[in-house]
Amino acid sequence: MTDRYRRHHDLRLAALEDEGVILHLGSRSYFTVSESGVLIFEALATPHSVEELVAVLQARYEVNAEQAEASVRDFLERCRAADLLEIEAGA
Amino acid sequence: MSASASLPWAWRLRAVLTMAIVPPLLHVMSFARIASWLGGRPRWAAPSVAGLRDDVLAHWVDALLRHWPPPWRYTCLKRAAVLYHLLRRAGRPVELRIGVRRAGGTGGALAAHAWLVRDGVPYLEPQSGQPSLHAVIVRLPEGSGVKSLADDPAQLLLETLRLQSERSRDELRTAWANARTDGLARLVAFEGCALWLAHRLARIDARLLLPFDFANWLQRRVRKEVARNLLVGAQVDALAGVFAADGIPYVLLKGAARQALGDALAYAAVRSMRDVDVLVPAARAPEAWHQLRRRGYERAAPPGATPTLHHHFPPLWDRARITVELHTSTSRRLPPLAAWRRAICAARTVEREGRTLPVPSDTELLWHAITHGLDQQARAFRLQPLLDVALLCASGAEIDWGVIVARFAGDEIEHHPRAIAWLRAASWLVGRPLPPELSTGLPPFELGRALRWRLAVFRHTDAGSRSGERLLEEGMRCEIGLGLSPAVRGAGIGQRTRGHVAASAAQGMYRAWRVAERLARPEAPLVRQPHDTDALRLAVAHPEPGRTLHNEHGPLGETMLEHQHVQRVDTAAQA
Repeated sequence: MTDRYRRHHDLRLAALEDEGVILHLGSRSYFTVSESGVLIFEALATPHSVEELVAVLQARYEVNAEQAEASVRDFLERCRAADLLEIEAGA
Repeated sequence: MSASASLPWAWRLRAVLTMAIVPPLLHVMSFARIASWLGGRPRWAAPSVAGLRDDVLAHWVDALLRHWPPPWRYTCLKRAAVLYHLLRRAGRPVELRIGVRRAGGTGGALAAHAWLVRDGVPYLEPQSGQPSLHAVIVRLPEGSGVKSLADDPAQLLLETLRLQSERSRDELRTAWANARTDGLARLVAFEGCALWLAHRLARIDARLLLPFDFANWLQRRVRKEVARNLLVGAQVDALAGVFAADGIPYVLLKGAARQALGDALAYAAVRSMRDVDVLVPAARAPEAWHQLRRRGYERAAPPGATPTLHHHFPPLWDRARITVELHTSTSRRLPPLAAWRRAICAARTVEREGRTLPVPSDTELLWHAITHGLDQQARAFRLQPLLDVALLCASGAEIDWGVIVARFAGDEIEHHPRAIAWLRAASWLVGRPLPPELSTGLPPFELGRALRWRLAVFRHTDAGSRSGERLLEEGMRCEIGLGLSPAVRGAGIGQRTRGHVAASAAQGMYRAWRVAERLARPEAPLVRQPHDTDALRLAVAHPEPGRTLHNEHGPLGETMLEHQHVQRVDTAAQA
């Protein structure tokens, strides 16, 4: 069973020089993400699994799969806690 | 021919003697004791400087020091000290700097460097760019650089914001590394230039050189303003949906229009926005306003807060608390019908989020930026309205200057000399000349002096204090010849008298400060010849393939989402 993640529909993202700002329109709260976080968040415009997000990271950065997966899972958990994600439970 | 072949023999001899003496002394004596001798009065006449080339001398000294044994063996301090002594003897106005920096970023070991400076920039450096990374701890002669950019943060701010500053990137970086920044955060906030400053600092790679407190403040400010811009953008989209559903024609104005143009207009994203301005035909404006009210938009200000003669309806907002202003004209001096015709003439549309957003032509955007800026009287002379004009001129927008010149000659501009001075200051900021009709005879408004005054006020008054606000306002009114601020409508005689006295005192203080400023600072021409076109464009993050995940902040997993705590987007200031 593989969950798929996409970013919350009520968000706006702005990429700056080396980070990004995410605005949650519903709560009028904003968050900052690092450069690699921007990459993940742009990918999350459409549903992605953890494995697919790991591939997105590895396509851009020199990082092994284990480290990338740990980072992605940590990032998704933080986003989920901040209500920035919509999760489609896998079949 | 080797470089040494062209060095006069008398200077070779002088250089060998100096190199024989100075390096060992640096090992056995404190630098402070040697410093007085290095740049002190010569006891004998220096050789003739005819045929002496500074770069050849430096090359010659470098070559010898690199081959001599310890304690003469080359170091940057020995090189700089020897060259400083020799070049001062030759009458060259060189200065010596010693600076330190953290090797490898925060937490790294301290690394020192010594170098020469001439005319404010590193001189004869074997490795270009290196001194910019160092915080200066020693300057020779003592007191040199007192009038440098680092000691004049208002001018440093201006030179950084300018697109074609004569100051080199290295000079700006060095100045930021050593700048006195107290009061600067308040000044940047007041001027409304935080996003532009952050953009320019990134372009010169100076963000990591800023004093920590100011860098921290600027980063937080930029994030907050970007978040607010996103909120304004969402309001534009919501408004477009309402007007499309109700069939109400409109054209976006000012920041909303520039933001909608996005990548089609350079620098559109480096302007902070507070509200959404739209132009609607006067005949449809009441209907549009009531439609918004029916859809849940509320008055953003109490009834009566908007002057009845103003050219927009009472501002509204919804739960996003971003104000919407429905304009029937773009200026108090322009009839609504004429304003609407101008706006829709050559207007274009932008597709965003499934909406079609109408925006005026580049020429109308610029003209509105000019008239709106000048309508603000003393507030027009803050940086934000000036940058609105400057960055439009620099953005590659297709401006019909014939139209601008013709309108300038008409009655839409209230005070032509002041308006020309204002426009020339905007031109100076962007480093581009205005058409001759707009740039002859009148000097530009001197931004450097204005910013120095404001910084002085911010350094000596508390944030939000009435006295500080009065000094800022009256200082600008005095500078541009507006006279004292008028009394508040309905004020009694006592209140009027107190206000008059306070305003007079504030303008008196400004005049006294200006006299002192003129005595301390020789006037410098503000407008210089522009250089080649600056090709800078707003860069968004485009990480390069293969870049490692680790950076100075730590591993990826710890940094991908920062600031998890919720921060409300501030809306209080725009109420």
